[in-house]
Amino acid sequence: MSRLSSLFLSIALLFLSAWLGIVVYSYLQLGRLTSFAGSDGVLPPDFSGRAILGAQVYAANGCVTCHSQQIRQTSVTRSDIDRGWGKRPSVARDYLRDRTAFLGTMRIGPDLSNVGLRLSDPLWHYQHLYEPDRIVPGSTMPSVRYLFKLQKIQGQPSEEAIPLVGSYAPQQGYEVIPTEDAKNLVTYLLSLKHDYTLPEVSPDVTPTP
Amino acid sequence: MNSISRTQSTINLTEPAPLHSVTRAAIDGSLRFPMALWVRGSVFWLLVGSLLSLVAAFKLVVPSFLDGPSFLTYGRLFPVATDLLLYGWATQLGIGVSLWLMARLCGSPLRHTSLLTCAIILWNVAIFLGSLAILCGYSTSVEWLEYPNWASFLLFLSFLLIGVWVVLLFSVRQSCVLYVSQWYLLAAFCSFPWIYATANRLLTWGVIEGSAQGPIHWWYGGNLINLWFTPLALGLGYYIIPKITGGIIANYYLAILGFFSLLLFAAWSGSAALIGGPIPAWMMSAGVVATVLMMIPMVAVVLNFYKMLQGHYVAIVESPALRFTVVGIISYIIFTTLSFFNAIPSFNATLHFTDYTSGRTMLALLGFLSMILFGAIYYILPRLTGIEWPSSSLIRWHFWLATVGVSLMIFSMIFGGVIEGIALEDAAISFVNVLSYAAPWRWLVVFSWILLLFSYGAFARLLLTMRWEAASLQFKYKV
Amino acid sequence: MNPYNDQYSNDELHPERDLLEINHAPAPVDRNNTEGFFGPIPLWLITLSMVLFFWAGLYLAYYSGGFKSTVFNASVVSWSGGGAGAVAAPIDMKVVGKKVFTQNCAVCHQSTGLGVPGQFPPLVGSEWVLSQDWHGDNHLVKNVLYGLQGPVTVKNIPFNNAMAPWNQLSDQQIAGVLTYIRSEWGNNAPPITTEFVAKVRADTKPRTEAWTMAELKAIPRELCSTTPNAGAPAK
Repeated sequence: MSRLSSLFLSIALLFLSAWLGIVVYSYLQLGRLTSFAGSDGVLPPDFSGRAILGAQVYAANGCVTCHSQQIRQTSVTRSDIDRGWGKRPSVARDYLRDRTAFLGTMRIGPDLSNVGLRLSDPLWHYQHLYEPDRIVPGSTMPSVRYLFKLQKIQGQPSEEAIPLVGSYAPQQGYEVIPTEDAKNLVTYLLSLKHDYTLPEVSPDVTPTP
Repeated sequence: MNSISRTQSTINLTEPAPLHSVTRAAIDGSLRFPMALWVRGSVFWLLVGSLLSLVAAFKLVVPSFLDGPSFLTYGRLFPVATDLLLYGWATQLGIGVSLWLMARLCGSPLRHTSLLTCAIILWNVAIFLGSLAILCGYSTSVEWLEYPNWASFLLFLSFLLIGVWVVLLFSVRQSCVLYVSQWYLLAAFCSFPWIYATANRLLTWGVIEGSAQGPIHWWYGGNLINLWFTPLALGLGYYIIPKITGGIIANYYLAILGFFSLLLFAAWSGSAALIGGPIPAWMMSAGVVATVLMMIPMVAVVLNFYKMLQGHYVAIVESPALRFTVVGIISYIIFTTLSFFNAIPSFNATLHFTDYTSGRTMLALLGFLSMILFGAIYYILPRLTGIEWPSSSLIRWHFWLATVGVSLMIFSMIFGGVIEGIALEDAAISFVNVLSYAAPWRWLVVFSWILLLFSYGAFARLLLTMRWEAASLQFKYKV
Repeated sequence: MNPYNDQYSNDELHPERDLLEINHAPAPVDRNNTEGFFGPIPLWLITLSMVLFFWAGLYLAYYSGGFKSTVFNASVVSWSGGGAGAVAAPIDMKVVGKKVFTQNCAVCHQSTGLGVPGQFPPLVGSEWVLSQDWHGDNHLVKNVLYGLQGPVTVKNIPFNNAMAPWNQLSDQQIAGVLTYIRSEWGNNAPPITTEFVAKVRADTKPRTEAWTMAELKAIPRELCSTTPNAGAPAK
């Protein structure tokens, strides 16, 4: 092949076809979706301000490196639903309110799409973030205790103090309280739930009640 | 133009025209200083990235290791390590050797290389500061695009400054016939800025709706491997193999088929990373189909290489450059096959989200591209410096430790991934028990990173003992 | 040049010219062995490629969800249009219809479907709604599209009023509301499909005057139920 222009043109056209088909198409068809106004209100429900800040903490600490947030379509596998990670597959609109869609590619830890439904006690989350190996023995999750503050008990123990008994428990006279980052992160985690349905969810999956 | 003269003019090409030795010396001389920077910078990041990857791999099996400080948490460390290997090592050195190759193929030395030097320094500074920023919590959290906006912008700027040279070299080339390697390098250098800019713009800077990010993200991820790493590596392979065996491209039409089918299918195959995900079904299926069809360019290229290597097996043993290149091509075959299996939805149901996925990426990065980059360095540096490699035993250590290390890593990640995937699919096995299935394989991965660190350390030592300063011969032949 | 050397080459003495040649001479190329260069691509590779292309085409035909952006499940083969708009899952026409009825029709025909005696005809048990006697499904649709005026009889009761035209409603909305009234309040008649409404709309010349009963009676009766119902309510 001897002409640079024909080579360049063929590269450009082939590349352009996929750019149009994937990037532009996604922008036009998926990027301009709006919330669905159902009888239950706006779906997916908006995040609270704290949850939005919590999503930033989630991003800053790279939680997506180990945790996915997608329940797979039943045409591929039912195991995500059977495992109790969700009641229905995820669709594109579920990620409408996310600044960054934390779809994830690895499951070194469990999927988190519905963790707000599965584990709805904030105290569990605080304890798990601080000493994961005691809450879930054998877990690969590292402790993120830098999101918490170790402080001396002043008079009465703080109401926000986290009860800890494992190897990371504070010594006598000290308590562990969550920082704003930890509170935001837990608020975000608790708001992760697909407890609504959308019209485009495949009809062959009836959500189990 | 009768067929004989066409044959002559196109076949006379392991380079467009046999360059005079003086011209070659001038080309090599002009690139000597930038290449020194490139090699030093990329090997430095290779070592740092491998060390951090070792720490990260160890954290997977001993989660409490160094988990106190925020800047060492796995979620920050692993992306930093991966990005150092992707952009600090592979992309940087890939750009460097491509530029040398382009200069040789276009037959022109580079002038005003101070601009190039600034771009290289900018690149390394951006990598360094970007990595620090991720460790301090400013990651964008988009896989392979974790550098904060300002860092990725600096990287993009640096790339443009260097890419300018590729375009300029094309414009001053002396032959009207384009060699195969030039096709691949042109495709790579056109693709990378486009995908990098588009992905960063849409995913990290003035982001689009979360609902649309998945396909675009994996369009970038697939293209990084298939339209940046693969053409770089194949372009280098198409140069090194005929040069060392003393032959020519085996079949012109196979080269055409391999090139254009790669371009056609590569960009669509990224969506296979989202099989079962929240993307329209047709995108998923397009990804499946494209990944399966990627077997065609692989077979075409490997067949070409095989024919070129026939009868020259002694050269593979004797020449380190060829040895590394051949291991790289074998890795390419295995990578495409693994991708093929990964794309079949019923297999993907088992394999997705396991170490199989990251194993494939590591194979493309460390097995395929890195090995061919090593081969290129072994070919280029003696010509650049006028010095031969000082220690053959270090070369042997480098080669064998790297080959065994990569093989062990891929074996552990693939088999471990399959076993973990089967356990993950069985809802009766609790997630923590699934982790126990994966654990022994992850220990093997730690061990393989140790082997790789020693291998890269041997290579670094080899480079250190090459006395660049003593190679003053090239200055006499600056044209 | 032998790159495989344990000794520092700087230790050996080379005249400059030799070093130049050693470092920068072109690699030797065997230019005699060139037969295969313009040879054909092996037949097995061509066959393999064709087989893969064929498989690819079939796969895309079956597993692409009709190339719609709203189909996420690859097992859903939906090449035929699954209704207008962005929703591909089967819509419950009665739900659509009830909404349309409440917003548009109930003000006259009442939410009970009983109408107002002397003013607005009832829909319950009405032969107009149930397509009995000379009334066909097409008459019902035309009625809704362009309205009705003048004397009419419903269940042997005379009425003389004007029904507004509703052609601004979409085919799906009209099909939905008609399906709704035919299955509500004890009425039991087959649903009306969106396609049927579209067909009747296309067959009818647009008019500014509402129909009279005589005009409608002159049009031959047509039923929707012979065509398969894509808009059937989900069971």
